[in-house]
Amino acid sequence: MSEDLSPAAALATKIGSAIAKAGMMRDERKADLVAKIASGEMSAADWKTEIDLAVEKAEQA
Amino acid sequence: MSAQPLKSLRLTAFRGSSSSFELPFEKGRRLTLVYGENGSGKTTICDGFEFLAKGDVGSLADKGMGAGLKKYWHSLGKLPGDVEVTLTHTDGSSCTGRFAGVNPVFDPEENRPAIELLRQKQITALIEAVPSKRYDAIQRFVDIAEVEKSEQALKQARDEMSSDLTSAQSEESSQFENLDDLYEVAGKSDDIDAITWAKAAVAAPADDQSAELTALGNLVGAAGGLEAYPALVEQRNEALKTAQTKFAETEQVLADVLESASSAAAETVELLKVGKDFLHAHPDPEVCPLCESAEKAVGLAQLVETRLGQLNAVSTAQEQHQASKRAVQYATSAIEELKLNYAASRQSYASAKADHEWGATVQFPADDPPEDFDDLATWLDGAAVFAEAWRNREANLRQGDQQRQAVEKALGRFQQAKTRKEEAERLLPHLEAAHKICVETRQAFTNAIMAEIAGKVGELYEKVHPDEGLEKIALQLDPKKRSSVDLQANFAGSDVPPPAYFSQSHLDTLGLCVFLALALRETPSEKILILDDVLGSVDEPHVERVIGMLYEISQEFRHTIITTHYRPWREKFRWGRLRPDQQCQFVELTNWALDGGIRMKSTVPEIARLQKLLGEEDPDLQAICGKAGVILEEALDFLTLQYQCSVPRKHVAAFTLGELLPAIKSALRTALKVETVSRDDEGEEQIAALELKPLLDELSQIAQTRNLMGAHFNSLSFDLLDADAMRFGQLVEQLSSALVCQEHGWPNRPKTGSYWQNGGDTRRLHPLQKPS
Ligand SMILES: Nc1ncnc2c1ncn2[C@@H]1O[C@H](COP(=O)(O)OP(=O)(O)OP(=O)(O)O)[C@@H](O)[C@H]1O
Ligand SMILES: [Mg+2]
Repeated sequence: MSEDLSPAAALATKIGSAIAKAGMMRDERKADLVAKIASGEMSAADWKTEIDLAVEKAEQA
Repeated sequence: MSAQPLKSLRLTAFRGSSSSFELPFEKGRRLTLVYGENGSGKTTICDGFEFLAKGDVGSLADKGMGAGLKKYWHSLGKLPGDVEVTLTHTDGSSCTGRFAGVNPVFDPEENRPAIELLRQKQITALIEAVPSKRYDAIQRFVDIAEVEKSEQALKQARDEMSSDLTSAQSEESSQFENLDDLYEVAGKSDDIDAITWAKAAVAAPADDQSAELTALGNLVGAAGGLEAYPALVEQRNEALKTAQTKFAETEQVLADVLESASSAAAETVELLKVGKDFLHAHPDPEVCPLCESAEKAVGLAQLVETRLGQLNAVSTAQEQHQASKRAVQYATSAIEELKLNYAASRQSYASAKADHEWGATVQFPADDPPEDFDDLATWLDGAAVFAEAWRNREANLRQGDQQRQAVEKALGRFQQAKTRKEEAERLLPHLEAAHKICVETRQAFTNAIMAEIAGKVGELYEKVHPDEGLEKIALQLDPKKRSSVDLQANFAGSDVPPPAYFSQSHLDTLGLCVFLALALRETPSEKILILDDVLGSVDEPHVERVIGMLYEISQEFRHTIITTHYRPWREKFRWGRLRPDQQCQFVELTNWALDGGIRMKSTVPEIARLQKLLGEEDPDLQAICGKAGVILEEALDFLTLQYQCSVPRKHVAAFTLGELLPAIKSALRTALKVETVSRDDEGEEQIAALELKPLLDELSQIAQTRNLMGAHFNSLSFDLLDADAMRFGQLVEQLSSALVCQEHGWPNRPKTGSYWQNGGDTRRLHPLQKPS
């Protein structure tokens, strides 16, 4: 574990990468959203919107 | 927070340091061992660090003194304001803690040290704690509560989407049923399904029908208006007739009354009424206003009143006649008005009929309503059948419109529900997948941290108890209870909770290892590790391994301070059994007293000190004798113990030369030989042998000639002559250097079966057995 990352931040980064890799988070939004996940500010609506848009983007590509 | 090497810790009026005590840290040594007997000040030193680091003194907690323990932080007899704790760093910077009123303040705040402190009473706390307490200690490494909040929000999104899907599905099917029912009512056909039908029904233009509906409404209204007239006409004609009859009657009555009264009665009544009004305005006239006779003026008003009474019947008949005449006029104008209204109603009917292009379904009577409303009733009779048809058609159209609206509404709802359902069907699997990723990633993450910690604990434990640590310790977050940590160890092949099967010393070691593993996780290079007397239960064979393990990990911390009251540590250091290449500073505390506070003993190993004294240009003979005496006692003590020589039994080990020297008798003395083993560059063994007899003999001789046999070892310096002092010191130095290796200690292991050797095989002591 990196020493300057809090456990929450380290975990949020992992979660962000895994979800983005599965096509459910847009790369360009990843940094912002990982910070939100780490600080517990991600709401149900945020999740819905992002997954919706990411899936739509993945489907169009 | 400073990470500078430490220079010194000064404690003033703080806890047991009642005066001022300074603990200097040796340059380049990152490990400080503090040995001291009970009550010598070890905990006070640790408290000093905790005070600076945390503004707290944990040693006082949980001792049944409740809260408000700050009043015990200063030394007895001193004041809080006297307290001063200063940690100085090698670069000259420092941090000082004092009391400002009741609260501690630190100057400068940014130089406060970070510490990891373990006290004796806490050592097994983590192991014996309930799982949730254990979690508290580990939490900072797995504190992912905020992420879990976000995970919870994702779960909520998933659940909402799932219930959205369910509700959209049920709305969709209930609206379908609704439409199917409407379809049924409208006449279902097998060719198309309800939805196709509904779409077609809703799509058909509705304008025609709604215009006809409006026109029909007007027509039915206008026809209804006409229907009211016959009754009204009859009613008003009747009223006129009644008024005319009444008029004729009152005319007759008036004529009769007038005939019975005087011919001029009517005019007289009129005249009297005028007179009465005049007399009312001018009461008590002096003359009659008509004839101007004064004689009849008196009582004139009374007279007029009486005459009028006599003519009253005429008056009443006149009034009734007038009233009946007005009634006839009123009834006549009411009929005129009705005629006007009727004309307007006819007009309404004509407009209602003309304003719409009627289809074949709507029929009209051949004639329009007659101009004369007396003929209307006949016309209405003929028109009744048409009016009935209009009303029916209007009702039919209205109902059809409502049904269409119902279909439109149901179809709209159905389609909305369908869209919602499809949206949910599209997103739900992704939300589920994302949530699963979240949960699995989190579990893997915490498990990995737990496994890392447990692995470290096992690695450390292994160093103390070989084959008992590696991969045998497991820490697990309880997945259901999250903030709860289970600890398991493998004991004789089974996984068990350690407190159930481990001995106390094993538990202590495990507790120490858990503490160290956690302390090591978080920037140890910035922290001072402090272990306050935690090794009480570890026995001789294990203590060396514990020390070895602590040596190793101490290199990772900014500094490490280990206190102990355990005597073997002191002996191991003093007699060179702690390896000097491991850069350890040894501090011995001694003779605490309330007035003097903490005191410190010299810390250089004894043999090294003797060598140093002997090497000085202007040797201090007194000091040489004092040091040599103590070392000689230790050497003779070792030999007499090793060969089980008989010495006087004593409670306190304070022997005299005369008691120990002669105990090594001639046969043994002759056989005693030490081989100092070293290795040359090729790794070949080089052995230098030294017979001990000449050394011991010469020492005995000095003692005998100077009559020192009764002297105690620590008071030899007073009894030896200067002439012998140097030689005495040299002999002791030779003897002890031969016997003790600074690195590997005394030759006390009978490993080969033919001599005693030390741990590194650098010294071999012969013989193995005392010659009989
Ligand atoms: N506030 C105080 N004022 C004066 N003396 C104190 C105060 N607190 C502790 N002492 C004394 O200071 C001395 C050192 O105490 P300390 O607890 O530091 O010793 P220690 O070396 O840790 O002992 P032990 O091995 O028993 O744990 C003791 O004699 C103790 O009674
Ligand atoms: Mg103590």
